[in-house]
Amino acid sequence: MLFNSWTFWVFFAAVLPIYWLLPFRLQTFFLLGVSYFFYGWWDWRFLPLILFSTVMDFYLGLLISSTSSEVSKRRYVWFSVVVNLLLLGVFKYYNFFANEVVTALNSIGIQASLPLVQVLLPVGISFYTFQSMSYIFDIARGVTKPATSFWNFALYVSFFPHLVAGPIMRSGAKGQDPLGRGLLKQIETPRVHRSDDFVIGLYYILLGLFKKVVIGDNMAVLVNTVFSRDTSQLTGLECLVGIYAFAWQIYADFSGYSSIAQGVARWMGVDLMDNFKVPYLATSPSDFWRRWHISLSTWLRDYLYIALGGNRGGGSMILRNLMITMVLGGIWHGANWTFIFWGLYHGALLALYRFVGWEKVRPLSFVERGWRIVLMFHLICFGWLLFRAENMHQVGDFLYLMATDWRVTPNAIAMLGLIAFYALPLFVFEYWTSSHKNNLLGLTQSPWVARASVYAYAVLMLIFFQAPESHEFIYFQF
Amino acid sequence: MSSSTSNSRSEWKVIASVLAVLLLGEFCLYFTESWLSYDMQHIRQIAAILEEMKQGEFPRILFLGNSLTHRGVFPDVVKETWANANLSEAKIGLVYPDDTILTDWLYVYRRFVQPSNVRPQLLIICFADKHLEDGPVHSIERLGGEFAGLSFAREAFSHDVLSLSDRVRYGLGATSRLWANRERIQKRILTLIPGYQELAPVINNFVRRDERSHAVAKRPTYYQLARFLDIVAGDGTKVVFVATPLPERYPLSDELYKTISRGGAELVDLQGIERAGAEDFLDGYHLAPAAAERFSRALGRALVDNDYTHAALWGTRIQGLGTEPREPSVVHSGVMAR
Repeated sequence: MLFNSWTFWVFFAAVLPIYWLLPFRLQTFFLLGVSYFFYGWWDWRFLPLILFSTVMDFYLGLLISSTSSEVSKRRYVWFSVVVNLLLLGVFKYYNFFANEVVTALNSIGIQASLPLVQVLLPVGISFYTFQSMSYIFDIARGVTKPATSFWNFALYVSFFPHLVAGPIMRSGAKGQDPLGRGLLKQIETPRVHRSDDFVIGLYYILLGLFKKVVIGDNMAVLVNTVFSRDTSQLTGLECLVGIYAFAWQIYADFSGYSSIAQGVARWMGVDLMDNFKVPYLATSPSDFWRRWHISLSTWLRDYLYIALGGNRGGGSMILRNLMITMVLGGIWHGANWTFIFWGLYHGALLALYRFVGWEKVRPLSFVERGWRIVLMFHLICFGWLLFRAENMHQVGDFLYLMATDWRVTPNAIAMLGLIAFYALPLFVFEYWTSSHKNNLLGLTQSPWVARASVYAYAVLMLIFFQAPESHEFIYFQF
Repeated sequence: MSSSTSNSRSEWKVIASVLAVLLLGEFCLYFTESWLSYDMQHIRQIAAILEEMKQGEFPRILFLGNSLTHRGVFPDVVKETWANANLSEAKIGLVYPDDTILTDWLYVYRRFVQPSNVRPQLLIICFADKHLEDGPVHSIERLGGEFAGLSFAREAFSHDVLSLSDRVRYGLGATSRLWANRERIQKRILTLIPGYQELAPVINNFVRRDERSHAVAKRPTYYQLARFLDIVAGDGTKVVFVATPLPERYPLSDELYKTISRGGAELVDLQGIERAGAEDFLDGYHLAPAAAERFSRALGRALVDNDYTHAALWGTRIQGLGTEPREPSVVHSGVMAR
């Protein structure tokens, strides 16, 4: 049941009025039921897994909070981490590592074989696993208390708008205010109608659908055409434009999902955190990670980078911490060398900017900010090549073509034209809204005529410019 | 949240304005959609084409297909071959909405041909590759908006449009001209982008290949085709399927032959017509005029030589003379059949 399918909207149209008619206690049970229904729609066999993860972490949370022994606490935390990562490992990484081990052994003359597991990757497993783990870590650190009931915790894990592709919500522990209202805290509190819920929810949903359906899916057609073609049929400029298209595809696809999730939750009186803040306006790698997949980057920062020592210690320690964090961030996306190199590359970028001194916060002139944004966008695009390529061989082919073949072809011009046609209005809009207000809700605070014009444009684009193929959200596979 | 955020009341004004824009679009499109494309003009003329066919006492042949028929069949050339064979003239009608396959043709027949009472002696379907296989509907919006409409919604929902999402899209297509014409409007606007005309075939090839790679694992089935033949045979019309040339030959499965045979129809494979090379195809898919002329001539001869079609149009051949109508043949004729 995809957010960009009519089935979802029929489902949601049935859920929403019933939800608001129910008293608070029943709302929790109802939402839990529909969340499991939503998740089981993909494949009912995924349900026992999420249920197991939920039951385990709920009771581990109770055990951690009830013991005063630090050793026992640590033991329970490790148990949760090991079991959660084991689940991820089996479903997501086992086949990759088995293949790599066999290849390595064969290369040194040892004939070996390991059984491969023929299993479906449960949708959203990385998201809800990380969310459950953050709950355990926060209880162990003493910054939050366990959920008041199992049902609340189960809903915190499975709340359907963010279940399959985030944002990875925090429970609402002390010190997490900058990340917005914690989800568990909201679930435990009776919902109230806010006068702007409908307006903001509508804004998020329309923006998200526009991003996903108009930009993400249309860019996907260009990207797939370029990346699936034999490189002998491509020029360097076409490769570069294909990477630009992927930059917009992945941004529009993922931020579109997050935006729709926010809108849907908002109509139910629940706030989900902002997962993106105009990332292609970043002037440095750390700025980029403050704007891109914020719920994951802050998770990695809080529970991994800082736990490793963070900025403490000398330069080499910081470098080590950065590289470990970013490589694990890359691996989180999937079992492929391209993701590992992508993580390594971003770790190296962060380190480079830090040691050159470009991460220091100081006012930038318009021109300096401009060229830094352009440079950062191209550095990010190189990372996207690693992320999207089928293998490292394709990365090499693309780089060779981009260095040697700058023929301007009609295909390259048309693809650039299509990127401009679909993505440029969004970029201009987000630039305006981010410079106009401190958040991305500028339009909801504008005169109604302005909103009507923008919404009419978005709706007409949604009607006329759906791509020939509708795609699943990219981040479902993670 | 900011207190300056608009409230729900002002949002209704926004929604009403957006709806007004959509209604205006619907209104404008209702009167102007014929200018959107030649295809739309053609669809609007289907009733007139069928009415025209009813004039006179000649045998009636209806070609039903897509742009392969449009570009590939020259009726005058077909008739010329009959004149050369001293056969009486027949009335030919061509209905060829763009980018359509069997599902669309079935509903074109149901919605336009059946109520018109044309009752052609022969229905000829020029197809290629996978046009006759069971598969997803090409464009649900167009099926709902142009071919099946609300009047055949029940039938479409029980056979062809099965998921909830698709049914909503069908309903929107049947009730909204904006929705039904979305692809045409998109094409009109995107062609303004420099280089798009060159890029579009590359993208189309990729999308087709992608669809084929998804379908490759399944064995083709022809339940839809059997249903179509049941409907047409019930009207007493004979059907001939003509495999039209593409740059690369495509296989015709045994199951396809069997289904057509069981339905009392005939399959004529004209992929083997004389070829001149790549210049036979305009855009890598449709026949160029010179090749279309050769194809039409071959088609005309095939209809003359084939006992089944000859019987349908001119009566059973007895020692070269047409005399009396005969029962449908399920035997493939000489050179044309496989």
